[in-house]
Amino acid sequence: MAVSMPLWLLNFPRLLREQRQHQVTRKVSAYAPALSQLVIDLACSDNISQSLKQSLDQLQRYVGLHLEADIYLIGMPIPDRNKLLHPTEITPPMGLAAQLRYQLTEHSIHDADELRYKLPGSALSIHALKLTLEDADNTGWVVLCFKDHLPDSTPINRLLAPVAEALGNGLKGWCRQQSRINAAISSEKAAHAAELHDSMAQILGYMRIKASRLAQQCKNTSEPELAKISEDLSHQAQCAYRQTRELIACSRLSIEQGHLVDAISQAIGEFEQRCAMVFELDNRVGSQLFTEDDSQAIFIIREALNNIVRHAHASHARVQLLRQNDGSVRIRIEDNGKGICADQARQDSFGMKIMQERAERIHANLFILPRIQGGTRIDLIIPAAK
Amino acid sequence: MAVLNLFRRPKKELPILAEVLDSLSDTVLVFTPQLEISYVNACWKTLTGYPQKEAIDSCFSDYIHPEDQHNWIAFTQEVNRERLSQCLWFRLIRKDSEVRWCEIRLQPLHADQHSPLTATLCDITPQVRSDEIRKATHRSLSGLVNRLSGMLYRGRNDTRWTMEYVSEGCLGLTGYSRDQLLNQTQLSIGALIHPNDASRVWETVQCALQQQQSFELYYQLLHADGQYRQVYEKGQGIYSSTGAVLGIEGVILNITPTE
Repeated sequence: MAVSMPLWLLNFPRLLREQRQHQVTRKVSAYAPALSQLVIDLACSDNISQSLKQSLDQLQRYVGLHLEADIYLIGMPIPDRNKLLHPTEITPPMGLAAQLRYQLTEHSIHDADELRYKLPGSALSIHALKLTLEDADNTGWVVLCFKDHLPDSTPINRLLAPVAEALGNGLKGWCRQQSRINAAISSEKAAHAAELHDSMAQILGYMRIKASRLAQQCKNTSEPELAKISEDLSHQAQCAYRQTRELIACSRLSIEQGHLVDAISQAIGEFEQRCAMVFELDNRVGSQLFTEDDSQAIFIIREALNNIVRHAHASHARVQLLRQNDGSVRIRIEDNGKGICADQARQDSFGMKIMQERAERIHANLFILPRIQGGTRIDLIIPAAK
Repeated sequence: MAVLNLFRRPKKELPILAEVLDSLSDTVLVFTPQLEISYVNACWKTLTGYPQKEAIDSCFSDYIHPEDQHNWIAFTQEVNRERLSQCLWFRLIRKDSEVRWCEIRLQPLHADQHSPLTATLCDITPQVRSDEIRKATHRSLSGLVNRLSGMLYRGRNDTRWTMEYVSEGCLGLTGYSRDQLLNQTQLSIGALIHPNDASRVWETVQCALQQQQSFELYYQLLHADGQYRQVYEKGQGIYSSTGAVLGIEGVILNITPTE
């Protein structure tokens, strides 16, 4: 909550001004929700979905009384951006969510800040105001749904514009707060990685080489007991080294939750620069890909791409993102290389084990199979968001 | 005689147009104003895996890859506006979920009317694939050249050693970027060579070029930070088939001992 104070102070003078403006209209001052409180509630929220819901409940009382309309929010910075948020006591009419999603978020209206239309095939009318959020790619909308006729724009906006501004400011504050938290986590991880790298990994690397040499020399002696112990030692040193490397690699990987698709295309771009292979990204899910922890998912994908570049002897790799009928998403990474042979599988078993473990952590399923036309196919099935 | 007969055949003996269309190895389509398919020829089945009958009345955008939908919408709007034949590359999703790259040429049937629209669809997957392979090879090669911790170059045989191409390693070696070295007339590799070495460098290279041999040089090169760096250069001439010197190419490496 340390960050909320400066933010609050930043917004405070303007909020007072806003309040003063509202007092001019008697009707508004009587019932207007405390917009300053709304901004603070959203900006300092620990659970943004919950806070938005509470705000909607408050706003519904206000909007219902003055405009006889229902209020909804869509395009909010929550895991499923396309979800239509509604006040607790209101159930959105059938098909409204899909219609708004189509009209407002998927149809990506760039030039309009206000949208008014009649819903096809019903008596409902819509008056929607765009919320200015931090992220220009994603737009949020506050939507009023009128049951019979659609009043003029001016009286609606007189009531709705300050609400939309407060929502926008609250959400902006929250987004800034989140990115500060993410940046802090990333920098902490990076510092951790640097320490690990400097101390641990170097010693372990040294031990690994020495242990391997020792094992080799003990093999040549006539003492089988010694050979066995030294080989075990060498194997353990190797494992410890790989595990530390994994930890370092993982802490260097910083990904913001909700940006998995961007991270995948970035990873592909990066690997493209380092080899002569053709990479293809076949994304059929848009930017809507949610996992419990995107950093685990991106790690699996990068590890798979890494293996293709290092071991597969492939000329072509493809990453396919496909939504399946049950709502789950299949991330398929395949190559046309030499496939996994038994020898290599043993060498890489450590890497594969880690991939499996990471998949389990996000309740996903991982299948590593030979590709029928030659090469390897890795399927990561991410279950549908609950 | 047979050829003459073919051309002189009365009109009624010509094959039916539908047969002609079905024999083509490109897909031919006719669209309604809502961009639903009202006709496809037999090639559609080969391209998409869907039977012709299923295609009729279906929306063409259903077959387009989600990431190319935006382009398709913009494209159809442009055809509507311009009423001229336009061309678009997009990914088509086959019945078996495989992706094919296609080129569509779309135009109104009559120049003065918005609809119906006619189109030809051609599978360009092999071209796109070979283009991708070519790009990947080029990318990989340029990555290799530019990551090299030295400077690869091709230049003219003049005392300024005017450069036509330098790899990105020039920044580490000279402190100047590629753009600066290639485009700034006052800056040249020749001007960076230590005055004590310049004439020896010139003479060694000219001597090697005359004998069509490679040259090897050690000299000092002025870095942008004002310090001279010890460098090693190995290069050779580029000659025409008649033996005329067209330029020189080679590599310069920093061999200054590190403290």
